Amino acid sequence: MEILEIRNVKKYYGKNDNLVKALDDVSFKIGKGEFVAIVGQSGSGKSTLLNLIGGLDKPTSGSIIINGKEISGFSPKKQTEFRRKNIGFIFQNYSLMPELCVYDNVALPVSIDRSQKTDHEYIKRILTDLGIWEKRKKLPHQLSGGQQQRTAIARALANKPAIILADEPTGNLDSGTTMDVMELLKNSCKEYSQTMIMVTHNDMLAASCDRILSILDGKIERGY
Amino acid sequence: MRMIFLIPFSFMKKNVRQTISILLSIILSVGMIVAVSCMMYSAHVNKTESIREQKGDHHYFILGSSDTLKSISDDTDNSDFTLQNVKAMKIKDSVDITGDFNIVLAFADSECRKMMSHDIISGTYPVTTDEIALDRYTLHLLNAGEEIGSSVSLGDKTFILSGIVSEPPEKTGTTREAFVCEGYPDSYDLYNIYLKFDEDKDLYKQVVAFAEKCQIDTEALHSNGDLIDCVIDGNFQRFINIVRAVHEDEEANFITLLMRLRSEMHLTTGIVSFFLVLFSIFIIYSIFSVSISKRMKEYSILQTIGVSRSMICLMLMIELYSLLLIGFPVGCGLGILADKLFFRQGSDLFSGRASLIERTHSGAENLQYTVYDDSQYRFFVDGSALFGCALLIAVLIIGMCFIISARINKMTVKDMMNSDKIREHKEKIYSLKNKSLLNKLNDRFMFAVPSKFLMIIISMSLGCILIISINFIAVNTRINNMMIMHSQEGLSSDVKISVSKDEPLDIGITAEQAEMVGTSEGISSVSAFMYDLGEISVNKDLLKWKEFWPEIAGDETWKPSPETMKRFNGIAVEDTDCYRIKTNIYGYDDSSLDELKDYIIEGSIDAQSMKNENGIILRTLIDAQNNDDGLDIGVGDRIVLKTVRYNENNKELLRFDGADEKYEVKEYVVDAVVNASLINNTEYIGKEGLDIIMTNEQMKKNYGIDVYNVLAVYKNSESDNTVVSKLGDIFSGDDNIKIYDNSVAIEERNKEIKRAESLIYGIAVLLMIIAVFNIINTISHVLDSKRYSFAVLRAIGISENNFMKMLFVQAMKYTVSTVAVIIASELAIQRIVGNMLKHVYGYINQIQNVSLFVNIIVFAFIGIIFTLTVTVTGKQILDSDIIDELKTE
Repeated sequence: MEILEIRNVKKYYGKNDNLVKALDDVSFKIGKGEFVAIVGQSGSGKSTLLNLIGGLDKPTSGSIIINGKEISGFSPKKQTEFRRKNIGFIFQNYSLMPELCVYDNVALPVSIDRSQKTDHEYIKRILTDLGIWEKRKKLPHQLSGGQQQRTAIARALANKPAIILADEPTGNLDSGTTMDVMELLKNSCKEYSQTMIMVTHNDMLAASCDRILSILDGKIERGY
Repeated sequence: MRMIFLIPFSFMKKNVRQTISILLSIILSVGMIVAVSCMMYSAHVNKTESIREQKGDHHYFILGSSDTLKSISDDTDNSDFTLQNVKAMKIKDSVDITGDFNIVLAFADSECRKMMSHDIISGTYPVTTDEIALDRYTLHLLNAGEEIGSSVSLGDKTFILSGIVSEPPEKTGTTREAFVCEGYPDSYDLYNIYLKFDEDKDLYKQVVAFAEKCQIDTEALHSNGDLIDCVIDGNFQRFINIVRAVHEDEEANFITLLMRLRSEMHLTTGIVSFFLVLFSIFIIYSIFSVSISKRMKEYSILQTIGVSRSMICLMLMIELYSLLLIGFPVGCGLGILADKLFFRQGSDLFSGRASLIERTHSGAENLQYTVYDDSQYRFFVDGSALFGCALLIAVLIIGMCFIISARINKMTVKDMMNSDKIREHKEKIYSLKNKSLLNKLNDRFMFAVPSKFLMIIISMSLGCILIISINFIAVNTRINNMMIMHSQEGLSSDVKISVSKDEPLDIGITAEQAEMVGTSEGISSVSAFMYDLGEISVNKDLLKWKEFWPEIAGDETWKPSPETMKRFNGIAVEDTDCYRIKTNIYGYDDSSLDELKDYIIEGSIDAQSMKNENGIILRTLIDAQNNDDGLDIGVGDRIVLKTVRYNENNKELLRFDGADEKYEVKEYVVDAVVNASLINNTEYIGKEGLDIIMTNEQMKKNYGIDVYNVLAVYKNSESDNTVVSKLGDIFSGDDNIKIYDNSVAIEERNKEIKRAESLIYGIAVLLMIIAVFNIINTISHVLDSKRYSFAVLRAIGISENNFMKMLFVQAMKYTVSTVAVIIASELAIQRIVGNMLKHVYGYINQIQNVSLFVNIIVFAFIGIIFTLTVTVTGKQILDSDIIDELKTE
């Protein structure tokens, strides 16, 4: 069953001579529970695609349908609500709240959603699995890059979203931790029937995913 | 080297909003300083000219012979002093008038008379040797008429009155002046030599040099103190001299120092200027700091590539001075314009101009008053103040840049990269106990760096503290002015009807006449006052201030007035075991007693209780510092009051040294002590003695008095000018009754009070504008600095409502914190300022705290500003692109 359908999506910036086609008529579908890797060179449009799927940006044209709902037509308010309940985002630069400790950063998405109760056991499990339980009271600036990345991953998993969008989630991790994180992401995928869409430069990691989508110059080169 | 200029300009170009904020803060601050300083300067100059007109255009005068005059006139301009004008009044003769006073006959040409400010106001200057010109008071003392051409007898000589001169600027004790013609025979080789020095040079230095050159004792020089006070510049040496003098005076205290600084060095001007400059610099610093904090990363890069601290300091200075070069002239222009348009009318506040009311010495005449002529106000720009302001700001900028560059230098590169380094917090997980983290997040946003939070709160509260303090001063100034108007200037009513002093005390305004006045057309109400003169005996240990009266002060150089000694045997008389103090006894009606409550120091006033228990109110002694502990008589104490028996019409008995059977003695209990009386009968002892106040019913019951001495008459708002003449009809043929129409004077005084208030509140509005500007800028920056964190929240999925709610809570917390700082500061400030108003500026009212209503308005206003700023900035944040914001980390 499809959870995500991208239909003729275009994302253009600028006009006339300054026109930049970040995405140019992209179409594909992703099934529920799939672990998909998006690969491509720098500037190919991978992050742009991820931002569109996550509702952080709007396509110039085309449709983005998640769980049967066309989110590209949502108002910003509805998009925000949809994102809060259904999307978990792992940013390239971690995007942690510098004012909150690790634990509170992870609990933050749940705390701002009044319809959900904070599952502290689950948070503990994620943090332990990611190897940062002992760092739970530390502030982000007190952590290494890898630890911050793991915190960002934990936050994305905390409210058990339907789709997890990960932009280079293992970029700053050592090989051992990378494997652990990938294992965690896959297990979470399976356990909670989460769909994982991961942008990566690492061919090995991409190869371990269920499907690879390759983007070149804003178009899907292969994989669909 | 080019980079040192390029970098600051590129910073300014990149942060346009902050650059404009700094520029605006400079313009507004300079504008405010210039507006107030030009207004103060204009007031000062206008006041100086006014005093020159009233007190004479000379700084000193000296008594000397023709040789002295020649030696002075021969050398008026040398390197040590410059005499701009020297004029002499030739003293011809002196006539002793039966031991009471003497009259000096003198000749002064028109130039000299102008310099003395003692000139002919009607008639002509004497031309022949039998002509004389005198002032009205002297004519009154001589029992002579004022008609030109009438005879005036001086001893065994008789003159013809050719002209009337203005009152002499200074009271001359027992000596009065009369002008005669130049040809009048000389009995002396004596001159009053009037001296005017160059006011652009140090006056004291010139005087010392002059005295040395002309071999004159400086003690012999009589100063025109009021004019000298205006033209002497305050300088540091003078300040030191005053401090030293106060320190050496055993009886002086800190209040004495402040009073001297107020009168001799324009303390008010100094305080106002100081706080305005301080506030302005703080605002500029606050806004500039905000701008700097946004580019810490840029400075870290500069540090990384090896730019030294002194070069960073130089770059900061270039930036600020560039803005000052633009902002200062614009601010000056705005300030001068604002002064010309809005502040001219309020210059009285800083001129300290004397009351409009000029009482003549004759007392029996109608009040003379000078109406403030707005068209005569001339505007001046104080160039030295502008230069001083520019120099001060320029110097403070150096200090600012020095401090900021030191701060940058102190931080490591890493710290600057992480410019919002959060204090190490106690390791705590908030989500375990709090479902919503947004409140905790707010607290972390606000309090994570406590010093920054404090700086924000102080900068936001400073403007509001000044505004509330200004309101405090304005309210108390208004009450004080009104009370002074009523109690000291005799302007408590539109019309005053009183009995001439030459009449016995049992002659007065009858009840029937009072009723006729009350029912006259155009009259809304009448307050009737009775009067008697008495004497109270005060035990010696109860009177702390013997130095209050020359009769008992024991100071050989301070003599009581001959008239007082002649009529009353002095105000205070020393007996073996007590002092006998002359006392006005006033009878008030109930409504006046009610009004007197504003002047209570101790006790309470209840008219019915006074009538029942025969209690009285004592107006006690008040000194120059508004202290009231000179007489140790208070509520519940007994007073023994001696009065002349009602049927005794002998004026000699008012000396209270006649036979005992001519007097009666009664004892009273003090119900209340006040610091002033509503009326002041100047026909007898005036304010020189004490006052006892009782009800009119008590006056009748205790002393059989059934006539009124003063009627205070209040006109209807619709009444016209014919009201006073109609009142005159009631008393026509009654030469002992005088009618004073105060309405014009009251109107002018009220306008004066309103002008002062307008000025005070005008300054408050300016401060409010600057304070609001600072609040908006600071809050915008605070929120702006959290854009990255807000972007994360938005990316995670916070709803717009929750986001705005979070910001609103933050705004409210800032409001509450600011309000707390304001309240705490105000409690201390109002106490200090209240003491200053009472003891240094002599305010006679009970100091009122700022009303709760005003506080609520200010606090609500702060809350509204915070909320609006937060709402607008929040909307801007919500409209921004989340992805771009996430890249701002």
